[in-house]
Amino acid sequence: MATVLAIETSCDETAAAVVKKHHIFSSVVSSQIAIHQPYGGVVPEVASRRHVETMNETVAEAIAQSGLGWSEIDGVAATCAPGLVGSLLVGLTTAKTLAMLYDKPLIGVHHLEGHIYASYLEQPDLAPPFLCLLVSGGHTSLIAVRDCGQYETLGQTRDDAVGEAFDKVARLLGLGYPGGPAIDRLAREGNPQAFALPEGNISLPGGGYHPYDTSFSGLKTAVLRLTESLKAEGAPLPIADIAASFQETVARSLTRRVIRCALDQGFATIVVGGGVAANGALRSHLSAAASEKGLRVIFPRMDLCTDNAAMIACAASAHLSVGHHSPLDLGVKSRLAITDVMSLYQSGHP
Amino acid sequence: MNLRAIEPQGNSDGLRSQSLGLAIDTSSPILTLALGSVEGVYRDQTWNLDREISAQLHPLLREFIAPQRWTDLAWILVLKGPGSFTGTRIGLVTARTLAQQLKVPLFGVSNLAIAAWREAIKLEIRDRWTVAVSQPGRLGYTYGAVYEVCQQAGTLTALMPDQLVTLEAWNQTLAEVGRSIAGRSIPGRSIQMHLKLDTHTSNSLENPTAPDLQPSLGTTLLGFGWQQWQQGFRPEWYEALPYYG
Repeated sequence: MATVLAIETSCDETAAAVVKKHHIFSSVVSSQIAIHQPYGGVVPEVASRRHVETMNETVAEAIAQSGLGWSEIDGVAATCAPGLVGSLLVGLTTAKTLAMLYDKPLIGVHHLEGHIYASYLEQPDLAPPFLCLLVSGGHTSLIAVRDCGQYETLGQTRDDAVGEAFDKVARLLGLGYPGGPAIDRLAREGNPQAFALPEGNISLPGGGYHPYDTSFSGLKTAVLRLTESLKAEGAPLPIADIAASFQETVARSLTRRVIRCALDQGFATIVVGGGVAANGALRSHLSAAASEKGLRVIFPRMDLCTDNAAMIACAASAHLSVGHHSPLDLGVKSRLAITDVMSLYQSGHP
Repeated sequence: MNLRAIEPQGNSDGLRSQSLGLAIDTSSPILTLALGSVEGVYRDQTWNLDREISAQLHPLLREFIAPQRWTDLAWILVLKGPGSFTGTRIGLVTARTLAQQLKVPLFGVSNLAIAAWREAIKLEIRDRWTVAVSQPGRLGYTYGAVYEVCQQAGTLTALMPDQLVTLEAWNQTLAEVGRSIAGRSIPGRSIQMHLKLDTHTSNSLENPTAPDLQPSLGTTLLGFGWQQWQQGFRPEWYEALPYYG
């Protein structure tokens, strides 16, 4: 298996890591959360500028912590899609420069494939096929994982990503950014049954509902209307109860879909990836439901759920080990379906 | 320093290690690369890449550097703007990474400063010369600076550093700067020329000169880099950051 230095800059974290197959030699994350907090969300141009400032130190630290020299590194990887174009460019340009300088293969990595591979780092014995629930600030998908680079999207959000819904509801409740951890903390003090909120089912033209697709914009609007109506009554806003009810609805909605999908499609293992995989309610709901159905569920540890370069390096190691590498004129893409991941690679000698 | 084009002496094996300078400009749709020693320019090339600059920079740079080796580089120079934000970042990220890994100095140079230096070469002004340089910015703003160039001494001094101001404020500065520069009275330093640059190419809009009479940007960058090097400047890679205004 190949040892890879990887860079992740798809959004607001500057990250670098050195990984061999499922073993993490080093993983460094330089967070921009504090910089974007005053704006209530990530400002793309600010993120790009900050990546330039922190990138080289982050890479140097990852290499130093790994204890490896360049002769022991087989390839250089970077997230190249999907994400913020300006941010992706900083990471990919750095990776290209290192690959060119040290004459190493370049491996472009799909960000969502990285989140899938975080589970391999958590459970080294994990092997496909399995079902991945990918939940983050930019994505909500149910993905069938057949093999390295072989994916099928079975379900997805029709509007807001679940992490985006957390951010928007947190802003409504005055909890600041990022919304996920703030709601999770506050929900522990609230009653999850206090308010009934809609799960957001997707109607099908022929009647009935889509079994796996989700929608969160209706839920977000329902929370807005609820807070407006409670404010109109003049009583103090029961923020903890609203947060708990919202989180409960999200966890129930996702759990119902992922369990049904796993059973329908014959998957015995479910892995969860993305920042929302750190959510307490989702972990408890899904673990209980999976256990009841005899399904194995894997949640990566917290630092592997949020954006990091170890997961990118892990995915790159798998690709490089089977001969996949990217051309030096590889570009970045703000959007790229995970089913098109093999468009990033060519085979043979770099 | 006015470098002449020379033939490299044999292949890289015949060259003294760390004897070359590399100049990179990605701040406009036109990519400029130049490689040379203190004795002259080995290669100086431009490509009009438009939006392809991020994709094509590395394949072109890898091809451009051969047969010399990365370890032959003594320093790197990169233009840090004002220019295209994304394009400038790509050049800076590449140059910073190369300089960090190769442990060589990185000269991050203002586009306005290099335009002033290039104009002095073009006009063959050897003595102390004060020039205001401006370039259109976004939303009615203008990038402006005042430089003193002295080819004879090999110096380039920012009398008024690069700044992003309204057009009105810039015109006011130009009117006042004849009497004083940045609030300081400097006798004998009235502006001798106002150099207005094109947004995209950092080329002069006024005083157009036939292309064969003006030094290429790559040759200018190399010459400036060697001047800085010979004067003992050794800036660290982390000092070079894009200039946004």
